[in-house]
Amino acid sequence: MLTVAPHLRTRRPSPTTVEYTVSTSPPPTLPLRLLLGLTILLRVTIGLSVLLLLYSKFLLSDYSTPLEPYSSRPQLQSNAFIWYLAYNLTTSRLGALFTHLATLTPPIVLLPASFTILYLLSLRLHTTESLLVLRGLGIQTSSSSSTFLSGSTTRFIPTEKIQDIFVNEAFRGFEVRYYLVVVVEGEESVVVVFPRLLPRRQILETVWRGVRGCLFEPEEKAG
Amino acid sequence: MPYNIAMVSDYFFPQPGGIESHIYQLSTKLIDRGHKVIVITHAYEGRTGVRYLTNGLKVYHVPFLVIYRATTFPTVFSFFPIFRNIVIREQIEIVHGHASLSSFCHEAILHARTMGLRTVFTDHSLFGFADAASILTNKLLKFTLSDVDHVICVSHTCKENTVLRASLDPLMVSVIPNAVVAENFRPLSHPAYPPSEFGNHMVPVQQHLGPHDTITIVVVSRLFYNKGTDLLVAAIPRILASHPHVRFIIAGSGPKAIDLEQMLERNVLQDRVEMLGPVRHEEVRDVMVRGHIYLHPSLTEAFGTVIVEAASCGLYVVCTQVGGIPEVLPNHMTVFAKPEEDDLVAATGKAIAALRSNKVRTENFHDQVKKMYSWTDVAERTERVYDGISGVLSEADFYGYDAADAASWSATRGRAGVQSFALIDRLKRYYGCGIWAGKLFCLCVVIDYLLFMFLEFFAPRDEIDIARNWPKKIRVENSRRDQRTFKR
Amino acid sequence: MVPNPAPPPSATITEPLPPLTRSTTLPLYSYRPITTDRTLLAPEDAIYQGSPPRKQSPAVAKAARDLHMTNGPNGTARVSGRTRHKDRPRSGSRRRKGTWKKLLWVNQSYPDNYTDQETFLEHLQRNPRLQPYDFWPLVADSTIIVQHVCSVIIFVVCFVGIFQERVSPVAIVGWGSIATFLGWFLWDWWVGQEESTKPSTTPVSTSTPLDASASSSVSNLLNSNGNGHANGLSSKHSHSASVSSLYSSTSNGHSTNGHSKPPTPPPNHPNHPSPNSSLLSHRTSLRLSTAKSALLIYFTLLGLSPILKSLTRSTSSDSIWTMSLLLFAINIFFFDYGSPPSRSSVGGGSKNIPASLSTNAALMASTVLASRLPSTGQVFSLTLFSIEVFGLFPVFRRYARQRSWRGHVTLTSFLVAGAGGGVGLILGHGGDGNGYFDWPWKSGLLGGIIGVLVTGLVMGGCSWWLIGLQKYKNEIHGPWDPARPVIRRDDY
Repeated sequence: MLTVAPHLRTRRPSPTTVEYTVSTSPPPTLPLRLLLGLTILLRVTIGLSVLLLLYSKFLLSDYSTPLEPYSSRPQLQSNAFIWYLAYNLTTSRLGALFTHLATLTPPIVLLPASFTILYLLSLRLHTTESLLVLRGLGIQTSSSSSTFLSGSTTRFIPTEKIQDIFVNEAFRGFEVRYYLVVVVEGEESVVVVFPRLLPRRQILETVWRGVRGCLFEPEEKAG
Repeated sequence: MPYNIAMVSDYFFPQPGGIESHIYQLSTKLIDRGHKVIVITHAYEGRTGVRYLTNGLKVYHVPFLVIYRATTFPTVFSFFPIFRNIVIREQIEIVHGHASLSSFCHEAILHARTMGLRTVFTDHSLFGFADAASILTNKLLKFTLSDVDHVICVSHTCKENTVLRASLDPLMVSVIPNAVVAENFRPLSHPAYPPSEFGNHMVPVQQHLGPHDTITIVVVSRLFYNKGTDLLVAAIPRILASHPHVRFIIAGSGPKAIDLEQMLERNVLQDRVEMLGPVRHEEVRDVMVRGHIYLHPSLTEAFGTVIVEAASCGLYVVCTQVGGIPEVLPNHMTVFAKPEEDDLVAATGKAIAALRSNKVRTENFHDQVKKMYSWTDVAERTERVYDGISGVLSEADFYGYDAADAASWSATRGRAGVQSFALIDRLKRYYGCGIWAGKLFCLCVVIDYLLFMFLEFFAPRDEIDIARNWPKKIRVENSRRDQRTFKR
Repeated sequence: MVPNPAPPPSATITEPLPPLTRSTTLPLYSYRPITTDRTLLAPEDAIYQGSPPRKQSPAVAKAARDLHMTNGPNGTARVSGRTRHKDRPRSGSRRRKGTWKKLLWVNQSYPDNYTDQETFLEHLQRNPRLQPYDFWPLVADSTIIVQHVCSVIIFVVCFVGIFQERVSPVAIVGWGSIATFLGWFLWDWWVGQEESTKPSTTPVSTSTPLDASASSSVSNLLNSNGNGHANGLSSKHSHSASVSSLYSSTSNGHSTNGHSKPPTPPPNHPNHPSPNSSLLSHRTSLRLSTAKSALLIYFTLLGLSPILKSLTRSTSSDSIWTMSLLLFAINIFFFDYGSPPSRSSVGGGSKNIPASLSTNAALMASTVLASRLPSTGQVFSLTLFSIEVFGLFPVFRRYARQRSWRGHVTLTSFLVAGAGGGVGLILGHGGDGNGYFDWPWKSGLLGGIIGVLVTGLVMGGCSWWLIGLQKYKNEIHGPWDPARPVIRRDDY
């Protein structure tokens, strides 16, 4: 519902520039935006509760110093306010519940489980990969990372370094997939465009035609 | 009608060998006839992924575990997902397996039947019935061939053997021999190709051998026990002793080479016997044209392509009368011997005498062999098999029996004249394989079917890209070939 | 496909192959005369190379027949004998000219899957080397196994007797030695008789191997001793080869395995006595050397006995019983039961190994068993007895069987009765004075009777069973089998 099969979006900001974007995200409509906002809210809630659980567990252990009750409410922007908040949380009924939960689960279960949950929460919902072709300059591939924690990886290949660009087939897992590769001069391995999504042949052929048309048009005219 | 054919075997280039070149030549000729052919084999060192060979032959080198002499480990089901993917994306209709020792081929035939495809199997070798390895292979072959549409053997002896090994109906076994590329095996005096083949055909001159000219005997064979190297070791000193103007050239390597060398040293024959060591297949012709007689002492042979190659090079052939060899060449090109030392020596003596008296017209051999064996002919005959199993030819036409007879034996065949794909019919065929084996085979088939259902659900067909075909050549000789096909 | 109904196993195996279940392929296309556009050869082209291919001469039929005669060298005689043209189902010969030929190089007008009823599988042979067994010869042959098993049982019984201190070890070894001496005497007499009847044969000299190996070790010596006797006796004509192989039987076995070259016979026969030495002196020297080796064994054993006694002190008895059981099983299973005439022809080099394995296993078992015994005298007696039973007795048995059938049967029955009696004595409390019918040898006699009965039943039953199983034998031979090369080995 939230993701769709990889599909191609083409942007032409200028006559000599084309951007091909392959993405799993559906076109943004209002209900979809609302739904996405809801998932973010859910993620934040679950993330905070996992952190609280970990903190309660930490308080139960021998390494922690017991929190002092604050007599007065400290300054909002001070460090003490965080401790004040933490104390209030742990002593509240919710805190008591989490403390109870923390006593029930042994640390050997709790730690891996909570880290796994935190990692899963940080995963991106959609994958977006794009190929930007600038005639006369080169191409830039970019691929969104899988988590929110890191940004997308981009790579620019100048035109004079590009030896060829073609579609090939290869075994991947239990299937044979098509993929678009750029052969870069002076490198052992080729650069795979859209490495995570590996879109279908139809998309690849469109991109391939467009890239070749955009990159090698002057040469083709000359020849 | 053009078919999409997948040739499946463990043995393919870059490994050298007879089966490998058979698959290649047959595929090339089938492509020439307008079919689409792909080859599925396992990955070799430095040869992985999907490749194209000349003529648009697409080769899938599936990554697989190789255990012994380029044969993959027989895992019955693990090949299925990738095989299904390839078959769907290439829109394969006929799966053609090669070589009975290739587990890849057996698995592919099983899966292809599960997927509802037509299957053909080509057997290239002879097997006994006595030793444990043969028994195991035969059981496996019986399993696979219980549900195959047609079987091709390279010689009539091979057909008899396969029919016995796999308990087949002899009518569903065709005999289609190997062939040679005659252009690659022409005699020294023969003009280089391509001359106009039918136009100014030049008559080769007969070469006269005087009584004191040296006659060279060529042996090209791997030096193994079943290639008859022991016979060779015993016969060479006697042949050389009784014929003074005779020399030997031996090409090939193997465990028996040491015996040969010992014999040479014991009898001090180094100056009359030349050992060349291993020779690449492309160089075989250059070795063969140096001689006058080809000696082939093999103990078992399904077809013996090498003797056809030798005859094509214009050599008089002396060979043992084993396996399918007696069927291969006409009498005026060969001298047969029993696999005995005395007989081999006598036959070689006869051949030498015949050459010395200039009775054998070896210069004609090349053109005759060219007419006997050609890959185009093999491809045509194979195509007829494809026609038969896919129902293009009527059942009566293809299997050639009277309508009255049909009721008596086509119980398991569908009404369309081709084998039914229904699971229960397949199970019936497998169940008859043996008391325990039958049940085991049925279990395998059922699991295979479940796996197929599973794959259909979790890797649906419409998510698999259809591969683009190699641009086809336009068939030039369309009309002429069709006429000949009709004649057959 | 229906799995081709395999012909049911029948008792009469020599019957011809059952006919194919399917009707023959009938050609359905009308025969087309040879057209001008064909590029492939037809059969007749081979004969008439000069003629253009389209020519249809009246000699074609004859030529084709000739061709068949010349090209089907294996089966032509049979085929021409049959009435193949009449047998062909109705329309075959009517619709198509020319017979089908089992050839690949001709372009035949038959479909590729045509199966010729007459020639298909005509070279198939089923059970070609089958020898139907008869009951009594089979029973007679099984006596060899019975003899060996019985001698093993007797040895075990003797050990138990010594171990439980019911029997004096000296008595056992004494009787054993007397029997051995008698056997040797008999054997010597037989050898003398044989040599006197065949004076032309060069006498065998076994002194060299005996001397050479006597100094090495006990088991080796016995092994070569036994082999020397066996080879020397069984194969008179190949004595020099056997002598040379005795020096290193194992290396010889390795070098001559398979079908490779035979052991190169020594060019001359250095072991022959000089022509002027008389027969008597040779025999005497033989006897002297035998006595010498016997004495050597005796004293070696005497010296080794104290060591043997404490050999397995740190091992528990259970392990020893299991181990000796296994070793005796190896001995029984790997014993060379083959009859001498078959051994002498095909080189015994490769067959020596299992035989020596068997002997060595038995000697090791007896050594291990002997080490359980408390006193040196017992150890010495048992070891000596084991050498007599496992080293020398088989040689005597083999020779006795060759010499006199009656003696063989008598020996077998004595062994069976002895083994049964011994087992009975051990199991029952024979002779210890308990029970009603207090007759000391009662359980022994009972055991003997039971042993004879059971052995007879087992021998008969097993033979009958084997004969019954034989009808399931279905060995298929045909042209696809690798041919066996026939090589004259003496030629180079």
